[in-house]
Amino acid sequence: MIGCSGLVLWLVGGLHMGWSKSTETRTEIDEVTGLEYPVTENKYVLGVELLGATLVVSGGLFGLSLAFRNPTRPDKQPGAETSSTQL
Amino acid sequence: MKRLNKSKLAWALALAVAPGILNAGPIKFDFKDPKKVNNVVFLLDAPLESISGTATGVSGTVSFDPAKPMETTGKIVLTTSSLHVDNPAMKDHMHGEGWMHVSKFPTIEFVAEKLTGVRTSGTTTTATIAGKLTVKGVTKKVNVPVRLTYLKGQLIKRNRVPGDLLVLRSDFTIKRSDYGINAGNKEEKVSEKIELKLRVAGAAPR
Repeated sequence: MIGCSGLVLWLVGGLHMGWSKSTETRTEIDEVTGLEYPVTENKYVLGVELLGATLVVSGGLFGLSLAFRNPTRPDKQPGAETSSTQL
Repeated sequence: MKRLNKSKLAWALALAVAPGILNAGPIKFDFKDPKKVNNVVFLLDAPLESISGTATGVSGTVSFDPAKPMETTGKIVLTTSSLHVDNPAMKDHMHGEGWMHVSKFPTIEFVAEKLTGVRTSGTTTTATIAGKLTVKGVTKKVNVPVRLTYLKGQLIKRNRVPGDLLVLRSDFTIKRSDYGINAGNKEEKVSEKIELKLRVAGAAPR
């Protein structure tokens, strides 16, 4: 869930390959002088470091879930195994 | 009668031309720009990281004579607190003591003293400016290429007041170590060379 959220946010942000940023700067051209100038607007864009962090956290939680899984689940009980073998 | 007419014609011509002659000479252009079009772009391309940012806190004045562009002089000032990168943590570091220390060094200044290699074609003049660049309190003599475009009477299109515009473009490179910008540290991530692209326009209302 955490990893998927990070991936979705990264995709929505336009697959930004740099660090996360809180503003986005685009270039416009002044009609009279022909000068290129920056226009900065507030926009949060998720970067690769946070995408990586969400994937690491989700991977870690997945690993922990495997390590601490409940060994007495109904499908793992001896009776269940026998019946499936018979089928 | 003919003599009288010729004399009148000569006077009329003189009166028509007089304002132009009186206006001749250096024009003082003001580069303060509340619209924040005037800007400096900085690029640092290190092996592990490429950083680009902008700064729009430009002010200063330039004295430019369209008839004698080689006599251009002036001063461009950049407010260091206007240095901007999109990553907020990186911006804080850049403004901090370890790097630009903007609270102690609030401005970067370039003083143009002399133009050499002047070539004019139409409204555009290219040259090399010899001047002094001050960054973090360190002043060094520099020679930077410049392209000046004199736009006579174009200010009304931009600011709705009659006057002229002077557009100044310059691309040059400085070294961090020359100006004590955390010299010798983290060069794998923050390049020693800083590419600067100056794009500014000054106004001279009449």
